[in-house]
Amino acid sequence: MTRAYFISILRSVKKSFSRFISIVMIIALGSAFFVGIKATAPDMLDTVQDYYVDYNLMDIRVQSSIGLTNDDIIAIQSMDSNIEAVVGQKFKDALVLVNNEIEKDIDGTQISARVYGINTSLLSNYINYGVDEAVFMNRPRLIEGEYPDAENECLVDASQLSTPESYKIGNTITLVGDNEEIDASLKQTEFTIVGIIQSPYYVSFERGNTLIGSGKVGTFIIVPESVFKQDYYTELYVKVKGSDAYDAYSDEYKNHVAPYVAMVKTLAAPRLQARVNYLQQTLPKQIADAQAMLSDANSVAGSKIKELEESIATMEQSLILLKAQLAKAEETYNVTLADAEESLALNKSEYNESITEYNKMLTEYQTNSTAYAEKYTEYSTAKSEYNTKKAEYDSAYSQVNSLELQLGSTQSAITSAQTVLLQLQESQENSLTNEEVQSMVAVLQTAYPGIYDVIQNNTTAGLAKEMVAYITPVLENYQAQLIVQQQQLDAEKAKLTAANTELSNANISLTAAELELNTANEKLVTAENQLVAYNRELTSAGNEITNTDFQLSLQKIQTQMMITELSNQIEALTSGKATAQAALDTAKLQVNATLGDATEVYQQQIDDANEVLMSLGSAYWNIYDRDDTPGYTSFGSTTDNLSTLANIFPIFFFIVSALVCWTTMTRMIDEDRTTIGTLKALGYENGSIAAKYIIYSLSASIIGCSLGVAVGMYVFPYAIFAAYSIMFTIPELHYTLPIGSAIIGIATSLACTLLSTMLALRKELKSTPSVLMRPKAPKPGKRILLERIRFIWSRMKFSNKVTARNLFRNKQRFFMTIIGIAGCSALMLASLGMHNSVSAIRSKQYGNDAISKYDFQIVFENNQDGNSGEYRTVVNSNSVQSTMLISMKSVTGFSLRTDATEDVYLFVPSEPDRLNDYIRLNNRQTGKTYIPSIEGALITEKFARDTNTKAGDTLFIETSDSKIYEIFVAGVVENYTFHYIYLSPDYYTEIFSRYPTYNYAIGILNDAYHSADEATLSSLKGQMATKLMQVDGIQAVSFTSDVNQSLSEITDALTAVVAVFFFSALILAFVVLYNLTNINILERNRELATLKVLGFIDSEVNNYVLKENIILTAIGALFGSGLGIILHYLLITYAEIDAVMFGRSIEWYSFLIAIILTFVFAAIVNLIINRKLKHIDMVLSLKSIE
Amino acid sequence: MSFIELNSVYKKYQTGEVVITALDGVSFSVEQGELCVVVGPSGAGKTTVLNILGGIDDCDDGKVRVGGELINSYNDKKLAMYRRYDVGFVFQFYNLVPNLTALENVELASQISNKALNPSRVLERVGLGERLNNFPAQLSGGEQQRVSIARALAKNPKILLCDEPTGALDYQTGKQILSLLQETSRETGMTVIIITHNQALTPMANRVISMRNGRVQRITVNDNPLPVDQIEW
Repeated sequence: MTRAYFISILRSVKKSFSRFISIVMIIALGSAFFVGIKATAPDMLDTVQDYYVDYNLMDIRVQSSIGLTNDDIIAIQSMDSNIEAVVGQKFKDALVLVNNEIEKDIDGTQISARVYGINTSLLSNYINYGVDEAVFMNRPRLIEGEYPDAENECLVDASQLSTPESYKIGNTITLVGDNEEIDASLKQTEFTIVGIIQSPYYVSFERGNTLIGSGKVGTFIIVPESVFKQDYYTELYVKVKGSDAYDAYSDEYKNHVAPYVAMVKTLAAPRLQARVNYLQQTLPKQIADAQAMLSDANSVAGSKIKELEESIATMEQSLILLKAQLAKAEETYNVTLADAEESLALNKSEYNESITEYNKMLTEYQTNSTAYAEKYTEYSTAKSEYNTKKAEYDSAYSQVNSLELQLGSTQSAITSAQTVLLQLQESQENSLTNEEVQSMVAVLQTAYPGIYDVIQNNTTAGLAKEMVAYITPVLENYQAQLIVQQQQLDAEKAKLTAANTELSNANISLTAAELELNTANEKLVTAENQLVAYNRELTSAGNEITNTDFQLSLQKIQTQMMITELSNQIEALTSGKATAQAALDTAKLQVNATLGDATEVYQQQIDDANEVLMSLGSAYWNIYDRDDTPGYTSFGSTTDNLSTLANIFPIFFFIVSALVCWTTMTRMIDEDRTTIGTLKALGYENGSIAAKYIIYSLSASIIGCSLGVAVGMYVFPYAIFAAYSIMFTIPELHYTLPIGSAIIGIATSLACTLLSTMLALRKELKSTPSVLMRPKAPKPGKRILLERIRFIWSRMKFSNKVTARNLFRNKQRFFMTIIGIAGCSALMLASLGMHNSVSAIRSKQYGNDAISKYDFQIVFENNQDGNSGEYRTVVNSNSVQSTMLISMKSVTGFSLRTDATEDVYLFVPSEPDRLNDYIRLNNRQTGKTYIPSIEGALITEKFARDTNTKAGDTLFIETSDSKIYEIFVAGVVENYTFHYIYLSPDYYTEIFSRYPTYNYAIGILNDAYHSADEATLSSLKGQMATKLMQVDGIQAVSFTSDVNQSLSEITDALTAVVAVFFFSALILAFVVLYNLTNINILERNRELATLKVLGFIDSEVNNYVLKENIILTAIGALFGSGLGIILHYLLITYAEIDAVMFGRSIEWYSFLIAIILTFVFAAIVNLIINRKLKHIDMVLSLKSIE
Repeated sequence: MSFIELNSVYKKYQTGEVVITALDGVSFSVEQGELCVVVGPSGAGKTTVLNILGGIDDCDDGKVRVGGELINSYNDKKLAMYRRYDVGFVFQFYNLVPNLTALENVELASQISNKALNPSRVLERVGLGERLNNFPAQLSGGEQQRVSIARALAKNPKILLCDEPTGALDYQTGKQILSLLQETSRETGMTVIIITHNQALTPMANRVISMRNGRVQRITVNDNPLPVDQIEW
């Protein structure tokens, strides 16, 4: 290959980049789809295989009706060196309460759980030290939270479908026995959720069957093994050496394990015998032990009560004592104190008498006192009289004295004056000196005081004569005065003598009075003394009384206090006794309750032991391989279905993309015709000419494939598994490059492109250069069939004739376009149809006028008949229009015609004639309505299909106690969710030889509910449920609408897968339409330019092309619809999941949507094409071809 | 004023960095009813002139008048109408729609025209009365070119534009086609413009426009054109 040639290849890629890209895209889409869908099932299998290996799923499971022991483990272990490990497992089935609320299963019944014990030391070795021991099988895979490390902690199941929403970390799970004492089996019945896990044992939402509740295990929980009381294992797990090397679900695996299953089976008989022997020995002893424990418990309880009673008796004794003391105290208070009071009263009266006496004395004293006062007055009078007389006397006496004194002074004055006078007279004529005068005056002064002044005034220095003159009169005066005074004195002296006499008289009377007074006084003093003495006596008596009184009060108070204290004591003791009595009652209750519990537990143990003892004769071992693990096979069959789908679906994509490739390459080679001719003329060999196109197409398809594989291997497995992950709880998907299908995909698309390139090239390479270099002779026009029908053809408009002829001109493109469009609309239709089918599950089962017409379902604790109280409450509820009792039990159903074994509900209506009011029992195809009767059972459609059963066939059911019954099928009825076998009570009795027991009721609410809007309805239902749940014996109330709601989760996820398909189809449709139309335009460029030259306006040119496209699209859509129906049928057949039946039909509007969408795409493509048409260059297009 | 007038028409093509001047100031006029031959060697700009006149290409500068209308100012829609009613095109390679019979190819044109002639009668006139229902592939080159002419004539256009109508035909057939065109012009008074590189054909025309390198070299008016039969080349 020359350099120039290589460059020309690169240039042609560059020049026609959009064409190159369109091939790349088409191939990418096709291979992405092919590889993606192909990879899904292997990815799922791969993931689950790793899961089984990493989490050590057991290979063989041994179950015994009478328990398994370590001896059994050793026996199995030692059978063959290829038995890698054997481990015992304990489990117990129980009903579940979460946070003390009843939890419902998806079908509305109360959920039951299988409680597994986990060996905590194995777990701890595994999680803490990474010890990967083969003996640690079915390991839990922690999703959230942590592993338990206490006996009251548990792990719960992570399944989206089977796990109730309330299974959250931190919530409490309470286990309740179904008519049995769970305490007999478990030490602990309340657990806190600490972790959420997956288990390789439960890959799907199926949990198997149980003997309790609705018969279906709803969920599982894992608790420490030490919680279990039993000393034996419920089942054993066996791991076969080398089994991990084989893929689960492969024949190699089965072949590898099968011999060991057979080997273990041979051990069943001897080991059972050993166990029977052992139990025959030990069970009676166990029973005896339990009974001994029971009586022990009884006596312990008895002695405890006795003890309490004794203490009460003691209390009573001391109460009596206290009461006696109180009585005595009260007596003391009442009698002794009364005496004391009496004597006190006596003393008081005496005292009062003394007071009277005293008062008498007082009166006497007062009389004496008065008398004394009188005497005293008399005396006082006498005294005052005396005093008056005395005064008179004294005055008279002093008068006398003063007069005598006056007389004397007058005499002395006279004497002195006479002396002076004598002096003077002696010295008469002498003048007196001052000193003389002064001395004379001084003499006179005493006798005559006034003299001085007189002299002073009259004579300063007088003469003695003058003085004598002057003194002489004075002397004479004095002498006269003296005489008078002498006379007065005499008179006064007489008076004084009289007074003296009087005074003496008075003195005598005074003395007499004084005497009298003294006598009176003496008398008074005596009386007073007497009075004082008595008073003292009286006071002391009063004091004594007061004292006594006080003492008495004190004594009273003391006694009172004593009484109070005693009363308090009595009261305390009485209440103490009451408390003791209450304590006794409580204790009695408690003891009785404990005793009751113990009794029940022991009784349960005894019953269990007895039951086991009874069953020893029919004891059996069940040996299972993995196929009997719930959901194990359904995972396998789901991947099988997916593989089948992967073989159907992508073929469409491949066909379509191959066709598009072919057309594109053909067009390219046509365009390059002259170049090819030139190259040939230049001497290039055919091979190297072809190489260009082969390289071109191969590189496009290799790029496309790589892109497709790279994207497809993630996108499709991711989306599809996302939907399946509702049903399957396994770890994150591993994405592996599906080498096989990638090679097939790449090889196929390479082959397609290569083949189409070669086909297109073949003719050109055969031609001679000269032919090639001339313009290609246009394809000759041909008459079409329609022209033969003259009356149509002649009536057709010219432009339609053109269109008609154009359509059939290029048959290759005609068919390709139709196939392309048909393929795309088929994919769209199938996707939409799938959506219809998935929605139909809900709408046909629960929608308006659907199959399940009943509004609610009630679970009773005990079996009911029409007159049972609980049932009557439901019947009489004003919310309820009508109800019916039913029996429902989960069993396993199978036929000999297929391998399928299905969990199916055995449904027995108490009044089969009325069942059609609650559940529509129609055959979907014939429309015939059935009523359960003695003729046989009615089974649901999906179950019938899975087991290949028709009316008139027989079926088998296996009940949870491993008994198998044969059932005759009278009819197949339409049903979309779960499997049911409807039996009339008669037929049930015929098959099981016992009467059905009814513990469910289904019913229809009254019209108020049916006309209510959503919000009202939900509150009305809430009220009704609350009311009914308060009734003892009603376990659960569930509403059909709620079941419908939870189903929507499944259908939504499936819808997501459908959406993936749908959008892939959408993209493909667009690419295909665009590509084909584009090529169509390119090929007819010249013709269209001619039209433009002829004067066709743009819209007329568009129309010329559009009409063809519309017709092609219409034909394609029509074929696509047919194809879509087939594809849809294949899809619903292979993609159907267990326990639900997809709707069988595609709704009319899906056809409409698919067709409209196809046309919308055609229209979009046309819009793009119109732009191209507008830009067709007339000059260039019409140039002669160089 | 002449029926067709070109006044200083310029046209350049740009391919990548190369600019080709196709028309370099072309001016000429053609009277109504004339048969005009535009002659010149390859690359002289003959076809460009014809394309511009036919309304399938536009000019960069200058004025193109047909019947007094300035057609180079028309928008796409008006141009399409102009092509539809006023212009008939005959191509060197006929450009028949292969999927339509001779009659239908003519109908394709006549159906959109408002003054169309009867298609079968036009075909009879061009001598194809017997081949009405044949597909192009069933006709010889001359016959296909007759269909092509019939398709152009059936619209009853004002101008018939023929781009090397004999280019792909042998001598005899070519002569017949040229006669047909001359007759048409003479009988219907239609203005016919024929492009050819064959100088020998010029005597048949009323007016000869010689072009070279995108310019008009010479315009010759021939008052007595020779019938085609008398021309030899």
